[in-house]
Amino acid sequence: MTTTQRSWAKTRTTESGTTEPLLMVRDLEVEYRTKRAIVRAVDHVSFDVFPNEVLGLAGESGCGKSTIAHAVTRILKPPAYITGGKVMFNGIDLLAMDEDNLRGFRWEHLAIVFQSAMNALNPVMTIGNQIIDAIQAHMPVSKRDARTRALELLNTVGIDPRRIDSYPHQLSGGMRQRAVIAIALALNPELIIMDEPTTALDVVVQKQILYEVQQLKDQFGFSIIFITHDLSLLVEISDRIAIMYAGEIVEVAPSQELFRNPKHPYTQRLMNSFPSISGPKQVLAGIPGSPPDLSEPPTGCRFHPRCHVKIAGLCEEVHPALLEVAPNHSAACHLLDPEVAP
Amino acid sequence: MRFLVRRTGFYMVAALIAITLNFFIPRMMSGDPVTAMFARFQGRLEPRTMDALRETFGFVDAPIHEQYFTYLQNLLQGNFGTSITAFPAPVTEVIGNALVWTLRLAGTATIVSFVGGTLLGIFAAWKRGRFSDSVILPFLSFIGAFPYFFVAMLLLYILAFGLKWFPLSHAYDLSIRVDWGSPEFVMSVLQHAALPAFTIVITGMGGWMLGMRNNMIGVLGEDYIVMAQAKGLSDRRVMLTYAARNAILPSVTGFAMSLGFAIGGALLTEIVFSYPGIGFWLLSAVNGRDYPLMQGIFLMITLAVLLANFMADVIYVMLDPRAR
Amino acid sequence: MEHSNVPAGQTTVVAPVIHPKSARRLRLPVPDWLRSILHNRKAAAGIAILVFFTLIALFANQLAPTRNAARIVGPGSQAPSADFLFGTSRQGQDIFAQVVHGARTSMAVGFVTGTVIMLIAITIGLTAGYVGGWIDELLSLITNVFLILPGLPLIIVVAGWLNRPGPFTVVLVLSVTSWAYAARVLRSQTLTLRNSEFVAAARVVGEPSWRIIMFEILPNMTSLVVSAWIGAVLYAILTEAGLEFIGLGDANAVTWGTTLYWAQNNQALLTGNWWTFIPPGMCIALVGFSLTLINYGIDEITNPRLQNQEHEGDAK
Repeated sequence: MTTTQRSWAKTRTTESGTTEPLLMVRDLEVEYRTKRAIVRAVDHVSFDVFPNEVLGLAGESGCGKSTIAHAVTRILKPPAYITGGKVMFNGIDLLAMDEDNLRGFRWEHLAIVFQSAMNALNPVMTIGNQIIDAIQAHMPVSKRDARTRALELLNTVGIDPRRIDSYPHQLSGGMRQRAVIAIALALNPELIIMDEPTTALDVVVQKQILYEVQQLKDQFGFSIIFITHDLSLLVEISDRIAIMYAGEIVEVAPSQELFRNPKHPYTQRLMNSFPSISGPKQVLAGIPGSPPDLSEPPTGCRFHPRCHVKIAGLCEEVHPALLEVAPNHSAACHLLDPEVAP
Repeated sequence: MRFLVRRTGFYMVAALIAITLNFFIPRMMSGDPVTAMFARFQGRLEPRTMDALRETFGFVDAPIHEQYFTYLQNLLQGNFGTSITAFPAPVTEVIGNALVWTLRLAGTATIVSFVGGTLLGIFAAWKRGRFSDSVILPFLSFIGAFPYFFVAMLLLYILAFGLKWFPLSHAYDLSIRVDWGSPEFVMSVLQHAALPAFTIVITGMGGWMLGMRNNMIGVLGEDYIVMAQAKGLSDRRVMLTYAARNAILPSVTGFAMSLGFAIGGALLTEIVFSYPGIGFWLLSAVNGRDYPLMQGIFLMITLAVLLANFMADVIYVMLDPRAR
Repeated sequence: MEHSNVPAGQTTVVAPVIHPKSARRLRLPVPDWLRSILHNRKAAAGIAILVFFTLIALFANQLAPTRNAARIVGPGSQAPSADFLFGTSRQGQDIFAQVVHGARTSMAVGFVTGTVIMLIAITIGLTAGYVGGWIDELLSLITNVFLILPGLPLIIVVAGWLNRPGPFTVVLVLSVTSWAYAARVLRSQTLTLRNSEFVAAARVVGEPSWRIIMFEILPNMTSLVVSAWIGAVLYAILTEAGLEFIGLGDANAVTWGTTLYWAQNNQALLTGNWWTFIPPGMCIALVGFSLTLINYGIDEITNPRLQNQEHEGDAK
């Protein structure tokens, strides 16, 4: 048994404590090209994910956060195209990888968990076989060994291994999401991107699964990009949080810092409509106005039409850069720029 | 299992309704056809045989419900009456011979058409805008809009009459002795079946292909396809085990529903090719006012369709765990 | 939950804006649905073919002036010439005149039958879907039975008993046997619409059921009704032609089907008189194709996923 077990374990090249990022995203650009318009859904987005870290990605729906998830995993489909930037994973350029190499690389090193487990699972295949499929696509192991591994994984995510031959429709919503997580864990990847993984579940199951995800993260040492529009959830689970607005990252900070000391006006408005961590769950909805039409984004700062503290004549004209405003804390706002606002 | 039981119940009801229609249609025709039917027997049959035949169809001097039960009873005993066109062969015998030819020709061709169209549909959806999608599909859709019998006529005219590649009619060369052991006879059967089979295959294929393609396109947008690709599975596996396996479910249901239509087309094809199957005999029966044969064939076709539907249901249950 | 039925990878697109230019373009009083149909290449091509044949049917008397297209006008078995555009039949009838006048009967029977089929289907499908309960159970059972009974053999049997029915009877028989498919489609759409807010609102206001069905539900499934109607017309045209082709129609009527029947009866295939069956056959095929095209177009308009995307080179 020990030999089988060892063969699944992956040697982590990065030791804890080093500051070398696992994932480096630089100036990522994604466009949706339809007959009528070109929409830049992700515009010059840069961020890092460090080993064993949870990076939260938050924003209103339509701000480009899911698009980033799909771009980094390279599962974007037309009419969406990556039009620029770099995605470096442990020093490997993911965007330069051809389909064949990508097929081998993805899932072994980075996996993705989709929003709705019902849609992410093949309805005519048992969950066991869907796990086994992932394993056998990457490793020359017998079906039997792969099945043993699948049983282990189900146990790990809290599903009774006897359910291995169940079909998705025979499982509850929470079970299905656990099954999807088990599939993501199958090859013990260094990074798992979770795209609103618990949105469709009720609060109790949601908390349970989040708790287990954190346990698994510590046990296996992977990193997570956690995407949601639910900020209260994010503050609980993330080490750092990046706030997105209209296809751009407008603020990045460690989650406690962001919570106590939000700098960007947008983040502040978000936090205002957000009483306490333990209080009732808050959905980003309390900001007047609506997100801009990205086929014709606002000039200057994209948030200026909704901003309550904008500097007339500047914010409409000049696009603010993402600057470090405190240690480990960056934001993109003219008000925070010492050269503009003393 | 419950699904299949329910479906079986439904098929029994459908069969009963078909039988009832068969019973009532001649009675709704103001009596004339019935008299006409028996008038044709006059002089050819002994009065005693005549009476037996009348009774077979329930035309007895009794209230209508008793007539109905007499008719049902005879059907259950396999008594469909005597054919006039093939006198004195019983209807069941004529149908039996014809059905074998039809099943061999139309049955095989319909299945080939379905399987071929479905496979093409899978490829067309997988490679949107490529050859199978942009050339084969429009072509087959164009042919699919043609009436079966017109395609049959065109093929017969060009390939059999003009180019003389294929025989013009019948199921085998009548100068050869019927012997399924002899390669010569089997070859002749295959040669004669080729053109009508091709007609049925090519006319029906466009519909199956388009249906499967559109199902596939719907399925390809699902998250589980993206996830299967992300998992690192081969294209082949994603296409077949994840996409096609789901996309075929509506096609199986559609197959059952379109079977009646496909059979109609096959009947007309047989008529053009004078192929001695059910369709050919049905037309002969209608033209010869052979009502017992006509009714028998209708019942037989209906039962065959019901049986095929049941088999489609069984396949559906095997393919979709949610139906179990 | 926020965007559960949008395909993955497209979840974050903002709805595309219509360029003001295209919105300002000529303001003819064309309804939106017609505009979008005409903008679809397939549907537009189908409509063009259909209009062409409709014009032929309407102006049959001008194109081939004759009081009886079945009249014998010249020597038999003449190949196409300046005198007889499509040649003559074995008996010496003008095939061109038959095809042109046949368009009238064939298309009229097709469209009338299709319409009657739809009236039956709408009545049964919408009633079953809206009323529900045992009425739905019963109507659905009848629908499913008619759906599974093989249509053409049933029609042939009825036609056999009727002894060479005329066009009117053909319309009747086809309608009574062929409404089930449309009824089933409409029923399931009605089930969906029945639970929608606007129907609930109408019910609260106290509108009677028949008004809700006619004025709330029916107008909201126009595209489905239209495509089912086109399918019914197509089925009717093909089946009518098939019936006549095997000699079960009125052999003296001039239709595409009877012209084909006489061609077959006169051994046109074995004597090489291709002009007696290719023109009427192609007419049926082209009208059938045009209807199919229109339905493909409607399909694409109502289901945007089926539309060809501009950039798909690196989809896979």
